[in-house]
This record gives sequence, C-alpha cells and structure tokens, in this order.
Amino acid sequence: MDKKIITALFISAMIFSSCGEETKQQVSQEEQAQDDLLNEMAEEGEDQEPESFYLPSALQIGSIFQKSGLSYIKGLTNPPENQEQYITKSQKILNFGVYSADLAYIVLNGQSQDATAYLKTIKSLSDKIGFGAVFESEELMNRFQNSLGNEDSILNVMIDIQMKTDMFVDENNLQDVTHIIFAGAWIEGMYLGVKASNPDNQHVISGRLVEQMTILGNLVKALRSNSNQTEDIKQLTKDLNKLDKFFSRLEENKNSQNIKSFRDYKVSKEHLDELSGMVISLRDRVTKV
Amino acid sequence: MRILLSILFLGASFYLGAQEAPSSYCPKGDVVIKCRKALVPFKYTNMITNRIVFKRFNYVKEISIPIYYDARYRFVFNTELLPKDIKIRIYDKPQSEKKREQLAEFESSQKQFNFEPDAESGLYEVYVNFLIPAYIAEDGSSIIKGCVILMTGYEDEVADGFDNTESE
Repeated sequence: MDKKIITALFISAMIFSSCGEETKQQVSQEEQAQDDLLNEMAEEGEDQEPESFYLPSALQIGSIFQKSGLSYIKGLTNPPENQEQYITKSQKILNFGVYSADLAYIVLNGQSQDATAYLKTIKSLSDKIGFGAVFESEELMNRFQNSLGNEDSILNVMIDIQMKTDMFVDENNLQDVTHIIFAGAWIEGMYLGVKASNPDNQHVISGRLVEQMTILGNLVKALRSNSNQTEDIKQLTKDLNKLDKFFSRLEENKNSQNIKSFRDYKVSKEHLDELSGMVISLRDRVTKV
Repeated sequence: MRILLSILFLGASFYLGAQEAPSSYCPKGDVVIKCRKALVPFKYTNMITNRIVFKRFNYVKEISIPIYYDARYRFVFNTELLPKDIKIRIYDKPQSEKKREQLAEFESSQKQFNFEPDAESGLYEVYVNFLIPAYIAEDGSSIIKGCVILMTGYEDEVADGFDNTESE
C-alpha cells in the first residue's frame, strides 16, 4: 500500500513538475502573447469587465407596490413546499428570486406568522445555489426571529440581508446569478401586483405595473449578457422580451416618457387584462415545473 | 515522504492561487461602510461596483438607474479606489440621445459625493456616465484598473418630520 501511495505521489509530482517546466523561450513567447492580447483589447476597446446593470431589490419593488395600496391575499404567494420540485440550478435561482419577492410582500403586509417559513425556504435554496454564506450567520437568523411582529425591525434585517447578498455577489463575480434572481423577483412582484389589486386602487396599481415595465428592457439585456445561456434562461429571456414588445406597442405607451403621467396613466381594461394574463402565464411557468 | 507531500501541496497552492481574484484591484470593505453611513437616513436598496479599465483612448461607460415616482433617492458615489481621476456626469437621457440635460457633474478627486434626483422632475430613469481618460503606463504596456462604488437608497417615509436629510 505504501509503495502504491508513493508511486501515485511520484507520478503526481512528475506531472506537476512537467507542467511547470517550460523552456525560457516558451515562457517568453506565452508572456508576449498575453501582453499582445491585453494590448489589443485595450486598443480595440473590448471591455474586459462585464457591463453593469442596475436592478432594484425585491424589497424596493414590494415597497413601491405596497405604498400604492396593494392588499394582502393569503395563499397568493408561491408555497414553500414547491421548492422540492425545482431540479435545475436555473429553476432554483429563479425561485430564490420568487420567494424573495414573496417574503417582501409578507413582511410589508405585517404577516409575520408566514415570514419564518419563507425565510427558511430562501435559506434552503441559497445553500443549493451557492449563496449559503449569506444566510449562515446565526446572529442574522436570530435577529429575524426576534424582529417578527415589528415591521420596522424586520425590514432592517431584510435590508441587511440584501446588502450582504450584494457584497457576496460582487466578491464572487456572481452578477449572472443575480440577473436571474432579479428576473424571478420581478415576475413575482408583477404577479402579486396583478392579482392583489382591487377595484378601488386598480388605477394606481396599473400605473405601478406600467412603471415596472420600464425596467424590463434592462432586465432582458442583463439576461442576454449572461455568459452561461442555459435553455431555461434562453426561454425566460424570450418570454420577457415578448412581454416587453407587447408593452412597447401599446397605444397608451406613446406618451409614457414623462413619469408624472404614470399617476394618471390609463391603460385600457382590455390591455391591462392582456398584460395581466401574460404575467400570470409567465409566473406559472416559473413556479410550476 | 513529508517533504514530497509538502512540495506537492505548495505546488498546487501556487497554481491555484495564480488566478487573479476578481476583487484584487477593488478592496472595498472600508469603502462600503463609508457609503452606508452616507446613505443614512435613506434605506439601502442596491450597490453596484463599477469596474473601470483605463484604456489607451478616452471613452465613456454608462449605466442607467430606474427611479420610481413618489419616492426620493440618494446615490452615494465613492471613487477612492480609482488609480487615476475621472469625471462622472449624470443625465436625464442616454448618450445615444443628442438632446439631453446634464443633471450633475462630479470629479473623482472628491472621493465621495451624493446625488439626489429631483423627485418632481418626472424622470423614471437617470443615466450615469463615467468619463474615463486615456492612459498609457510608463512601461508602455501595463493596464490599470479601479472601481467606483455606487450605493443607492430610497426615502424614509417619515423623513419629512426630521431635519436630517444630509448625513455627517
């Protein structure tokens, strides 16, 4: 056994040493080639860094809708047990975003009895998508538990979680993942906006829905910039682009450049129903595998 | 045996560590804390690390930031992690639009500065332009990089009752 181990280590050492052994001429040529490539990129203008996309947090989107009078409807959110059916990494990442939006909706409407289950779901999914480090802090989880029932405190905890997530994403170059998370959160936010509006505030909510559509273009660009284009993501991007195109062709959209008009933005019932239908259909495809 | 294992371990560590960490030229731990303090009393919503590469020609890097009506925002910029100075300008339209209004201009030498879009302006998006000047290193080949941290926050609902719109 000792002889086998020594042989294996010897072979490994030979492999490592042969990888490292290059003639001076080869090293010089490789370094020169690398320098030439960098210089070429700098001269040609090829950006060595990925494009930055600003995508608002699920908490902010939830807050915007809630301020517009979105009511709480129990059972509207994606049930935590659905997480078991998400097999691919893309499905898990997308629904991490969905559950983040759900948690924001629950917390902003003071439904703390459901908040723990959703935080646990998010934590569970975070472990599966490589974000476990964000939620591993016992102190953070305890703060969340202790804050239940106190909306301001729990919001502060959620803001801290968001900040930790943003730092983690940046330090680990996970911008691609964050684009997908945001897509899930955005779709769920729009779904809740569509389903939880009542006739009394429908006009205000429809203005918010239309306002949210203005960031859809950025979201589509962000997803297209992802280096790993899985089939799930390609389909999602296609669906979101379809929604974006539908919106941009609306008759009512002609004068939408001035946001002040969003307050009085009147989308016809027919178009609102069509937009709502597309959002609900998209959300179902994301959450029900 | 132990020497062999040590050599193997060191070799593997060297090889794996040879890849440049993404944040090696952007150590932002302290900067994030400064930005966070400057955001108060606005509630944190997002943070972007804008990586800046100094090329051999002038160029502009642009990002768009959506803003929502009925909300006030504060953008905190920190430019301490830049090796050379740049300009930052904020506009109401993208650079592809010929007619656009400049809303603010900053020099990176200021190190940290805030911008608050006018809530009554009717804008739903602002465009941040990083004007990056051409640079060539003394050795004629090195490329230098840095970053600008942008942290954003939205209004506190009860802010009007307090007189602390500027943090210390």
